[in-house]
Amino acid sequence: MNKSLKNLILNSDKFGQLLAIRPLSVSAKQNTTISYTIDKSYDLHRLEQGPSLEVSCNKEEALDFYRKMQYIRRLETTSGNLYKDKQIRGFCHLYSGQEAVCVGMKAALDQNDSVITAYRAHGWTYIMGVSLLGVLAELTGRRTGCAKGKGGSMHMYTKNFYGGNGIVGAQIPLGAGIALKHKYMNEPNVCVALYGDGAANQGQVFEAYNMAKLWNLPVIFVCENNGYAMGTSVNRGSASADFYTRGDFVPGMRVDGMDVLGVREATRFARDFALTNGPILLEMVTYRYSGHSMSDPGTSYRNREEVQEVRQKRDPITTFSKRITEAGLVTPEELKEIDNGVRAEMQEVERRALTDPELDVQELYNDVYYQPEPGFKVRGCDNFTYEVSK
Amino acid sequence: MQRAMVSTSSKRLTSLLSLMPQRSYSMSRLVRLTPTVAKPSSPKLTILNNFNINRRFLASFPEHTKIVLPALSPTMEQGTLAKWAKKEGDHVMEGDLIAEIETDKATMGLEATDEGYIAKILVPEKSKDLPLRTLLCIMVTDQSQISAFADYKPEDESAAPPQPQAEQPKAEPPKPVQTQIQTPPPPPPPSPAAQAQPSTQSTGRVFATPLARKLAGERNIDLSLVTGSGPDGQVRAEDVQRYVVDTPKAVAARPAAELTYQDLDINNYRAVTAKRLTQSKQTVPHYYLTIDVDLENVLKVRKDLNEQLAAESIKISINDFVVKASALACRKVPEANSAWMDTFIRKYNNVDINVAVATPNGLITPIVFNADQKGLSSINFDVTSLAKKAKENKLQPHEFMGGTFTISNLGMFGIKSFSAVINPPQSCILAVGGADRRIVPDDKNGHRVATFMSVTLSADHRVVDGAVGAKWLEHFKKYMENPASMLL
Repeated sequence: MNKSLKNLILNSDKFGQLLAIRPLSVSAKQNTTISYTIDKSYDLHRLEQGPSLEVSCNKEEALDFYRKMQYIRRLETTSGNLYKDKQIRGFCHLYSGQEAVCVGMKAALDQNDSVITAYRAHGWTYIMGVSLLGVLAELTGRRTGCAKGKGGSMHMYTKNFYGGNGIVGAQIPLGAGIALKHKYMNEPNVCVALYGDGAANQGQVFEAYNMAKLWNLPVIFVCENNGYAMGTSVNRGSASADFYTRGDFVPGMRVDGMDVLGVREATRFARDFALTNGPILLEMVTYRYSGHSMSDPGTSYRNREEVQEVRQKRDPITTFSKRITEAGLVTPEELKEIDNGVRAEMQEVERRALTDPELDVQELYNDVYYQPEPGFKVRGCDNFTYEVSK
Repeated sequence: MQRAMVSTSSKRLTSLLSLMPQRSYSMSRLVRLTPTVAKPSSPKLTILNNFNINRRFLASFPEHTKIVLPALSPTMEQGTLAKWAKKEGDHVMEGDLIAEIETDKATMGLEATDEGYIAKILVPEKSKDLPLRTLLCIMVTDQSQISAFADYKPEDESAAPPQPQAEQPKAEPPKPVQTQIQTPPPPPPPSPAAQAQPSTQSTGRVFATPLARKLAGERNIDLSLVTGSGPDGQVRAEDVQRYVVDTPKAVAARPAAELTYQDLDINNYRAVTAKRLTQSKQTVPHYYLTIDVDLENVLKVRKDLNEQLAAESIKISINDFVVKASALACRKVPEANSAWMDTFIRKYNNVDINVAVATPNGLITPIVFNADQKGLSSINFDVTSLAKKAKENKLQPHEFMGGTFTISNLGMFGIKSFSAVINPPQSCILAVGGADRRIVPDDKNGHRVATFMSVTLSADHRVVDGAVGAKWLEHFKKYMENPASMLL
């Protein structure tokens, strides 16, 4: 396993122990806020100073983060179950275990900031504003899906969210381009371009780094390092596993991606940096519980014990819930209530995603051209089939 | 990682359902919700379109979750429960291994997607070939609820009340109620004495090239019985093709003195022929129309043409004329050039004639494509080359799979006339007898000697009515008795 990954696992465990011994390190001011110091300082590359190690949030935010992460976790679990029941076909890449990254980052972004990511996008799609039904119904191919059921897992978009991209690493140059648009239009916004540890070795990623730095684009490159590029662990696939340094001339920082507040703090820092100094690279050290996709059991290249260890010691949801309950910020009952609410809502969403109607076949010919003239015909599968497109 | 198939419902759902139109079952029984728009999917998957709400609120059983056998890989159709990793009463965390399932590809782990306790295990270890969605175990959230399931039986909640299904608008064909998922047809049984069969175990994955797999699948050959000639015993496409050259093996395992018979292997040709023709005879309503054809003009034309072609050493046979005449008759009567497809009839625009060839392994019918557009010499060339290839077992699948009309000629054996079995999904087959010299009445001289040939058309009455079949034969006869008309 990657050395840094191992370190983080071990350190988090130590931190967990510290938490038990010294509860004063996490304070809850009058039961309305929680603040604590992140144990390990950030690894920095070409940065004099990183974000503050002191993180805090209030009760409302804590419950919101918890709820959002639970939604994503349940959404991914439900997707996995439906896939196994053959209600979802094709590709399905699950985000379970990585929830803190999208929830934490979005909390620090402005509503007009753009995000572009790769195919492990369900969590990001939800957090960028698509409803749970929009995501799940899209996976099951129904009309109520965010792309009317026409696209599926790798075709989810919404305002300021550019998908959902299938080609490995292709979204990074696009992300730099979106940042160029923000700069060109004088918008005080950044673009967050996410990719994985596997895509980090793609050539066009380095081309994007170069152009972003050359033109000082407000782009935050984020490497979601979950330890495995499909089945290849980082130390088997990358000559340098310090992805935050790979930008070379692009400053970078390594962040514990399992701590939602840490992620938020780092993103705030990165956003401020990007708006003034150009591109910055964040490496989020995280973990995925499921396999690369639904065709991958996820146990042929790692032990089940390793996965269970991460689940027990570093799970983003349980570590966060432990922190906020032990600090007295929230009660376990409140969290249980959120759990039940999330569960019930997901059941309803699942029911709808399975019973909502599909599109008519006539819809095949729509959404091909942008605003076609009335009566415009689109060719079907051969020269004899033409249908009117809307 | 694989997770258990868990579907859950809630009190809220039940209350929502109470708003639905009244049906003749109690609210406490399982409710199936089906999609209101038919989803185009294979018959195999239609049963899975029923969204099975697995969390129940029965009078006797507390809220629980049913764990059913999921599709752990996209191609999985059934699995064997190799081993339970948890016992009844065990606490299960999210992601814990519950059981090990053996599938067609590998042994995979079934993991829990939710935290809970195992209340009841319904399927013992080593249960083989369970279809997808078999109920494996019950999970509850509370340890105290485990005892309620001590005597739980799957019939208690009788899974599928057909009423709600019947009342839902359905465009699909009626689905099987039980999960009888069809497995691919089993390979022919290996001979008992063939213990020295090469390489792999039948349970393991056979090391073979993708092309070899495809060919074996098309020809219904069990890959594990094929000797591999590639590296590490890899089965290659040539091995599969060569494997078909299995002559029926005699089992000489027992002392010969006691036996008056031999048990022969059923090779692939025989197995497939047996299956298809049995199905044809049982399901297709055959009827037979016989007509006699005067071969006088055909023989004359043939003689002339062969003299001209003597230099190229091509010899046109009567069969070539038969093929051409049939093809043109099919053009005139396209109903005979059609196929029964259960819900519709496919009328082909091209005429591809299958010509039956007897090979040492069995009967095969290579295709002469577009026979109506080919000349006699082309047809002759095709037929002879295909027959040669058939006898050497070198036919490619595309050369014998398909076709729109079949001709079977046993005239060379002296058979006067016979009736053939239609090859589904075609709707006709022409059985050609031998040429027969007869004395027939003649207007001028009172009698003359003529050469006649008897042909019998077997037709599928679902597609071809009697009059239509008769018309086809009428055209065929006209073409044969007047070969020049085939030039039109």
